[in-house]
Amino acid sequence: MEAFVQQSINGVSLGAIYALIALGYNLIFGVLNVFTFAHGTVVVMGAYSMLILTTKFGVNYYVAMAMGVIVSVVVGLIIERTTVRPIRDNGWAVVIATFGAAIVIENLMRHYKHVPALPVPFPVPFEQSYITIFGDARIAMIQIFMLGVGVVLMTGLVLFVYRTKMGMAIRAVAQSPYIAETLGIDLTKVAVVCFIVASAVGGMVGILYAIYYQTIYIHVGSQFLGLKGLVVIVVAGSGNIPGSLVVGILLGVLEAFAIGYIDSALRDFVAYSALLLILIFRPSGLFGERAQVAFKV
Amino acid sequence: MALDLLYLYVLDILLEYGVFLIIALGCYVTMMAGQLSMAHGALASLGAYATAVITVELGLPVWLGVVAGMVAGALGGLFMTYVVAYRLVGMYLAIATFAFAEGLAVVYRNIEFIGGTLGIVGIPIVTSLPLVAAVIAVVSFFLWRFEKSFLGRAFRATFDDERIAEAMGVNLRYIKLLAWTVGGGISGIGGALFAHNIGIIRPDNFQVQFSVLVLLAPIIGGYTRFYGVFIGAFVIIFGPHILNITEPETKTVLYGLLYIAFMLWRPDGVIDRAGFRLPKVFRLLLRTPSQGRP
Repeated sequence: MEAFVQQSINGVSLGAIYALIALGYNLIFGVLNVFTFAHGTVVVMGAYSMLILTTKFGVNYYVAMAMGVIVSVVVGLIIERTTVRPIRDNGWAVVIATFGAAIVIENLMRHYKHVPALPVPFPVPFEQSYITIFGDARIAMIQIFMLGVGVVLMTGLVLFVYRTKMGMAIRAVAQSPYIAETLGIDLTKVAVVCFIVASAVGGMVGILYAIYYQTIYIHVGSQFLGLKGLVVIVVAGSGNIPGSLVVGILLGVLEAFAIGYIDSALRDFVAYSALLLILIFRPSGLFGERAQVAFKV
Repeated sequence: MALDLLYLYVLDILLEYGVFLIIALGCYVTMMAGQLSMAHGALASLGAYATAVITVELGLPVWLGVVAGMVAGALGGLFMTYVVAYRLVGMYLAIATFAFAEGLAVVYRNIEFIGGTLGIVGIPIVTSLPLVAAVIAVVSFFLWRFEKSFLGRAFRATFDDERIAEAMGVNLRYIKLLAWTVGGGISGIGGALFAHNIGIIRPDNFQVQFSVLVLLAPIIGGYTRFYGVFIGAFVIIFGPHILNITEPETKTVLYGLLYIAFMLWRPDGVIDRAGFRLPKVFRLLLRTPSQGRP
């Protein structure tokens, strides 16, 4: 029972990271209908910038955090301008161009002299301490910190999308880019805003991930975080913010149980087979509308 | 001596190119019907494992292994049709196929019978240049005739717009089934030849990176003419070898830039709907005065 509670706590923490990635990614994938391989790289850029700024240049912890997010946003904007905007009409070309962009950025990072080649310890904001809640099950202060930041980010994002004029434009573009453009919405502007918000949220999530696991390596974004974000989006149904939240946390808990009770090697298998299984029974995702479904089912 | 080494090196790359080309041609068939697939590396891995089990574990002849590879790839395609292709479209389909590829790699790692993470060793190495060339020739001839047949046009109509194709009397279920099983079968042959080329297969050979590379070939080369894939596969296989002349640090960066450059230059692939045309520079050079604007 204690193990169960402990795995649930770990699962919710991991799931919060997945949910946040999916929320940011949704603005690119769900709204603009752009499949970018480079989002995971943008996520990692934030964490790496912060790591280098704090350890090599001795910048204040929270200032470095803000600067890491800014670096992520800049990288996201560069990707949008160079590999997405010129070929936005051709979705398949964007997939490959952003794949190339991810390779370029990751290798530039690898050859930058301050970037360590191996997974490195990541600085934490405060000393490790725990709150015991149930038998041996305990919550780390870092988990509480992470969930707190996560709740703030989610609230901000939801308020932005549902309560501002720009958010209304974003929702209009998500429904139909052509009609939105007819009504005078500047698609390029919406795309830029979506990339800025998604990259900022992504950069922050990368930092949270690094703080939570106290380690970071270059390929964690492109090979792990970005992919899990995609899984959450498709399972939840595209463009559904509350759905992404629920599915992200469910996926985290599921993986935590897979690690705790079966085998940690099977964790990805559990996630991907859950995706395929859910798509068999609900092709539009758990909470989605029918946007992603084939014409003739 | 040096010439011998060079010969072996070039032979090696040519074999790699040929085998990769067959897998990519399978992906091309599926993409002709507008199905963006990241699973063809995984379908090829089914073919590779099928032939490895047949020849190593059961000790049966190689040709049987290659046939089994084709069947395994086609069955994988059949699975993909019923599980995802009938349900999803566009990028969502791509992600689902991607999940299939990822999941399959984990499955391979955890089955003891096929060697787990160590894979299967001692597969007879029989792939030779004439064999690969013959298979490519047969597949190319098939695709050349296929593109011109009414089924090829139905594929292209499905690519353009599924709804309109359906309204024009195209049987979407049949087209998708055909696209996935035929594509999977060709990729399966490629995977079997891959196994017989290097003699050892491991789950790491078929990670998602490989599936993305397979997908890259038709997209870079163009997905409307089969000979476009030849160019795309050339860029992907020969690109790293040509870039080897630069520093190792710059090589990988240039490799990524290469993809971006191709996509910005011709987003629809080098051979797009207009068919083969020379780059603008050459066209300007070759232009005779009477052809150009006055």
